[in-house]
Amino acid sequence: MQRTGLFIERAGFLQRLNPLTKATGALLLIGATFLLPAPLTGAALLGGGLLPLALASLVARRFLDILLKTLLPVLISLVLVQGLFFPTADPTIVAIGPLLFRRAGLQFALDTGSRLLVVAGAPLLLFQTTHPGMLVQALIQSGMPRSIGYILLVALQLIPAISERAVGVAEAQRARGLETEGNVLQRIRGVLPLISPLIVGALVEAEERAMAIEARAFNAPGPKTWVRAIPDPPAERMARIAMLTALGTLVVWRVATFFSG
Amino acid sequence: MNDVLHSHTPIALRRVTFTYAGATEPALRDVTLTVPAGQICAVIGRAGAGKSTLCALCAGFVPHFFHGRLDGEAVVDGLPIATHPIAELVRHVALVGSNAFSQISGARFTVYDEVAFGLENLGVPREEMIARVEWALQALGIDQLRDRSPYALSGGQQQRMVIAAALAMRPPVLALDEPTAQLDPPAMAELAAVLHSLSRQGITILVAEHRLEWVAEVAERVVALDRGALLADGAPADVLTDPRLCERGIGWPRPTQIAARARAEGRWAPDRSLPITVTDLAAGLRAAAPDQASMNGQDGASRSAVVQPLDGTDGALSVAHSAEPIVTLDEVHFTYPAGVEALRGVSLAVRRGERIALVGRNGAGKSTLLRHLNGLLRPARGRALVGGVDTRTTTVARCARHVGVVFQDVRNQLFARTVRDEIRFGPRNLGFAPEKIDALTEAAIDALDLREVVDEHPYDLPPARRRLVAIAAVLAMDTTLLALDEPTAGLDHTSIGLLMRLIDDLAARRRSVLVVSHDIDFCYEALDRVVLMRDGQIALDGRFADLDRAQREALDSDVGLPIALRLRYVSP
Amino acid sequence: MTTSTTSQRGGLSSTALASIPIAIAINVVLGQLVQSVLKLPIYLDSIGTVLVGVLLGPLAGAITGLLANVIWGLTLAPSALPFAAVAAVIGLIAGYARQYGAMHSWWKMALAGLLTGVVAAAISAPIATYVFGGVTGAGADVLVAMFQSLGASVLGASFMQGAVSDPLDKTITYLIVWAIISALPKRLLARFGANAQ
Repeated sequence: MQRTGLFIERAGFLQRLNPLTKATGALLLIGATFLLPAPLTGAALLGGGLLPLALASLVARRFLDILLKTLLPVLISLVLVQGLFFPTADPTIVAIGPLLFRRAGLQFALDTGSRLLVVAGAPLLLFQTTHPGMLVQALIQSGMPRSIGYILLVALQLIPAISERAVGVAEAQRARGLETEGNVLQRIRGVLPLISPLIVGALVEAEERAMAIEARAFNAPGPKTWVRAIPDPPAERMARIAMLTALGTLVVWRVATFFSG
Repeated sequence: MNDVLHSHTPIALRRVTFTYAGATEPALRDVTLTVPAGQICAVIGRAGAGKSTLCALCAGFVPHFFHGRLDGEAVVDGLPIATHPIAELVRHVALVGSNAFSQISGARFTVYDEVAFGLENLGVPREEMIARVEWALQALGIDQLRDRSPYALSGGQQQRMVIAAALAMRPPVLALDEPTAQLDPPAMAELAAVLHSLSRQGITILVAEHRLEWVAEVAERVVALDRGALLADGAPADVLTDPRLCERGIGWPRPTQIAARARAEGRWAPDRSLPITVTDLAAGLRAAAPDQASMNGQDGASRSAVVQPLDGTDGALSVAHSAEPIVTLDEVHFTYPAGVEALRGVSLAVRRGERIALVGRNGAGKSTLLRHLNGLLRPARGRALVGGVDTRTTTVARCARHVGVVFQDVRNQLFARTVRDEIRFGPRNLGFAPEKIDALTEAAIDALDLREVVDEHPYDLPPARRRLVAIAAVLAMDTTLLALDEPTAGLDHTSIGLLMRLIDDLAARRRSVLVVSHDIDFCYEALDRVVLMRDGQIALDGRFADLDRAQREALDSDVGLPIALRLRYVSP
Repeated sequence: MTTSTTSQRGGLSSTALASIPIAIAINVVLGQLVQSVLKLPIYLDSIGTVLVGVLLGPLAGAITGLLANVIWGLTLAPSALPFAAVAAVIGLIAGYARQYGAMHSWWKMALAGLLTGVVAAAISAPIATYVFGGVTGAGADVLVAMFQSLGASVLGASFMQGAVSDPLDKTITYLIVWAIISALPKRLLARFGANAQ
């Protein structure tokens, strides 16, 4: 896994936008999926919104690839579990082959699945088209605590390092006779000698990194500056305001219709 | 812009005593030290003598990060350490540790941004930030790496990046704690050049080190610590030849040792002072015996590319019959999944009693070969036999009965609560009887001089001792071959001596030792057979004593020659 | 005596800032490893969260859980993001567990794990129900089907499914954390202020 997470370096449409704009857009899409009552809203937003954006950003194939890889098991499970076992009073049956699906269940599965496509798809597209460093910087400049941003970035970059360390630990312990290819009992006994050096080593390193944090004046008082400037054209700022307004309107409208019955 | 302004004495310590919280003995006793602007001052001493504490003190990490009791006056760049927090001190003094990896902030994705990170935290305006980052990158010679990921650099490059990141904050004082611990000889030389350059620009440098030869090349002044107190303080030529260094276990640089031996044998002028560099040593030896250009030249020694017979120099150790090799590699080829062809037809046999040095540049294939010795990696083509069994038909755990490997990063291995438990782990895995486990454990404890810390937690010990624990833990497995990967990294003189005695002892008991190391002098002194790897193949395989001219040149061009051989054969 | 950390800045010390990312990375690496190798109904993807919670307190634990979830979503599967609240609560409970003396014995830790598992299942259920329709895409969905066919609602079935797997996973996690902390050197324990043994 690379250190920049899902980010794909391409010269596409979304990549050029300010991270906040994209994040707001994702928020709007997710909100719309939940708030709009129309059935299969999610699928529509995916097809009419996310997919075209992905295409314009030259990441469509990877986008669909990961989206389906992570969602397909859930979607299949939805159709099978809820399609067949949904607790409903509606007796209508839809027969497909030898399976007797409950119509209400299928409806539920399709609605939920459709919504999932956006709930998972919007953040996915956001992460695929935004460099994590830029995203975090934009968020911090908008008020997110620096500590949170720091933690996110460091965690991202450490994952491959810890992975390699895990391999190193396994090598070192196997060289001392630890059996890792044996039966279940042997593997259970190997858990502690394999996990412990990883974690203890990581904690010791945490102490050294804490020193490095101090040494880089992370805790120095006063305003911070940035060596990289993230462009934020007025057009995008207005777009963000528009999107947030739209989202707010949706919420209000939904609440209103809910109370009016 | 390039010269650093000094209005205060960079380092002014007066009668400083510091005791860590929870410790019974002070780590620093009554230390008085004044370092003038632009000086490179080295601090030497045994492991635990207080070198790291001194460095940490100068940067304020003692007492603000490592708590304890501080007495005396410590003033750095005009600021009293005791009353200023680290966040304030960072503009005046930077501390750089030996493990570059853990000093990478992790919050930035390119070298450029990483070097700028500290400046962003200090709120430096963008234009000035850019200027300082450029300067720092140039000063450390890493400008061409600016767009690379900090994690995709070599150890030496990371070390330089970390120093650049510290320097970008323009501190007039730089404290380096064992900067060469993870570096190979070329990187060490580069670092020395960088430090000289910085010193010329007015930056004061305090550097704590074990590698005395490097200290001799770098330092303008040497301070020796012994159990927290000042032992000696003066010019390198004086301090590094002080007899007390040997008495207190700090040792002398190799050229000094060699000259002292030569003096005892009458080959060094009695009134000539002892040298600290190889150049001075060569000059002195030549002066004493100008007509002996190649004293013990063995230029006619036969070239050997095949396995040497058992070591017979110490007559009592020569073995009458040729024993079955412990490990045999037969035309081994290996390619990593990523496509790197690491071994391209390697053949090697390790017999009982051999002491082998495996050397070569980074990327030559040493680590890959090492992992074929115990089955961690299996050949794609060719065979690897351990204890007579093909590694493809057995498990690593079973190979571990014959071959014990201590890897370079000792942290990957230590996990027990006490030193003794750590050592027992190996023999227990091998399924020995309880009495045998106890016997082997106690023997290993004594061999590595760990008796007094036997119930301590390995991580509560200084890094040098931890490595000895790791070695003891594998030694206790009583394997016929003990393989060590860079065992001397971070070890002080006394521990290296211990290691050498261990290797001799093992060879005397007909066990074998294989050491992968950058330290060619250590290899020469402790081992007798050298295997040079180059581009995935064995370029040379012979005894140090029998190398012919071509072999010596090959060795020199890749990893350097031991001082002793350099003196004998390299023409003035 | 040694206090655990240096300069505090509104909640997170340098030690916490340095430890939390590592805990998150451990979550991800071990979680992936266990999924691919052991193939048991345990995930072991909260070891880092519980570790930080116990060592550095509820706030640090909650942050670890939350951000670990975000990272998981950022790198592996954005579909994990809705469960951020669950992850945060796990870290929170771990911090309080330590304050209530769970570190005194292994069975107290196991109990804390059990409790955490149940709470995690309870909070996961509504999220799983309203976002994922009660299913997880894994083998445990068989349980959901079973519970629903026995008359449970989607929410109920989801909770019951969680109640079968989560407590086991969390109990094992807590026990591993207990074993590791028991094996930590004094120097580290002092830095983490974990003197309550």
